[in-house]
Amino acid sequence: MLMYFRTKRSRIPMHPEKKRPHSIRLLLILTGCILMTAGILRQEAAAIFMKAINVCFQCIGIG
Amino acid sequence: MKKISTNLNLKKISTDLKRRGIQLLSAFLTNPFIQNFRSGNIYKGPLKYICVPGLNCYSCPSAAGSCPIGAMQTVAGSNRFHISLYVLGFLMIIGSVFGRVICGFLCLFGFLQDLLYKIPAPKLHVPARLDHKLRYLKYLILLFLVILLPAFFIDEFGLGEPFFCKYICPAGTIEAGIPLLIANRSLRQMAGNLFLWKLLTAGILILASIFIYRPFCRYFCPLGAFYSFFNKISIIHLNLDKNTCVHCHKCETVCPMNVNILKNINTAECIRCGKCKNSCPTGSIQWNKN
Repeated sequence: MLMYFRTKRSRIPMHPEKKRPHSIRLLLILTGCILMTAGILRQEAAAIFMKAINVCFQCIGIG
Repeated sequence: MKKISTNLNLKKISTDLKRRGIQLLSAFLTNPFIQNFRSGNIYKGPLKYICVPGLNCYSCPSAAGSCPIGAMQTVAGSNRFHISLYVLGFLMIIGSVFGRVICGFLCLFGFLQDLLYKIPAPKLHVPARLDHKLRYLKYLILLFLVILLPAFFIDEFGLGEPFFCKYICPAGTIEAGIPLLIANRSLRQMAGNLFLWKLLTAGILILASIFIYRPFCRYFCPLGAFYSFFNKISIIHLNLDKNTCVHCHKCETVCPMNVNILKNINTAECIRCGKCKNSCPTGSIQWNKN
């Protein structure tokens, strides 16, 4: 269905080999969005922020 | 024939300049707080909640966002989580859209290596067998130093260390360690053997970057390793039209990452710099934004 929805010009059935990467991409992007949301709800972003606003001694070689 | 050659050269130069322009713009957008190099402070604002797509130490005085690799280790090494869903999700989205276009166009450390390679010096060609085997090293670094060790090699408080940042990452040394130690006397007094080790590794990498094209990206970068999984299926990718290709192999000759383009143009090792597209005399290689 999606392959016909794109443009009026391209109403040519998509090659089956091309359908798979398209669905994989969508699935990965959707999974990425879900994971990001889950991470934000788990307060991971807050943990990253607290680390990032202080000088990371391990990163700069102090230990 | 001469006119076509001149046109191709002009086109190549203008495309190179465009790429350099994008790299410079990206460097500035992710590191706008240049005044902090003088004061020795780091940015502490809300942009640090957000990861940048390239390798960019969050302790860099000018950095606006967080490094995704550093962030991944931070969350994995905390006593509350073992894996960062937030960073994983972010990298999956970026990877699915861009693949390693990030490496070729947006990564600050990649840009630094590009500039170092421009220094006039004999350029070395790593033997194919060694090159092929060394490329797996970045996947091992991603798996062990970024994902597993920070999560499971923990202290009595349940906290893990950012192993990659602490022992290997040259971006942290060059972008953050050296500028901060120059600007802060108290930090200089605290520097010890670990700093010497990091200075040594960064120095070796800088030197290697003059003779070999992007050695860090090829062999050590865990972020490049992660994005490489998405090269085959990313929305933005390169397309080789086998009908118009005349098999002149010019694309493979100019490819700085030694990719076998005719076999697989969207291989995991391609950083999508676009040099193959610029060199193709028949226009068989194009960007495809499916």
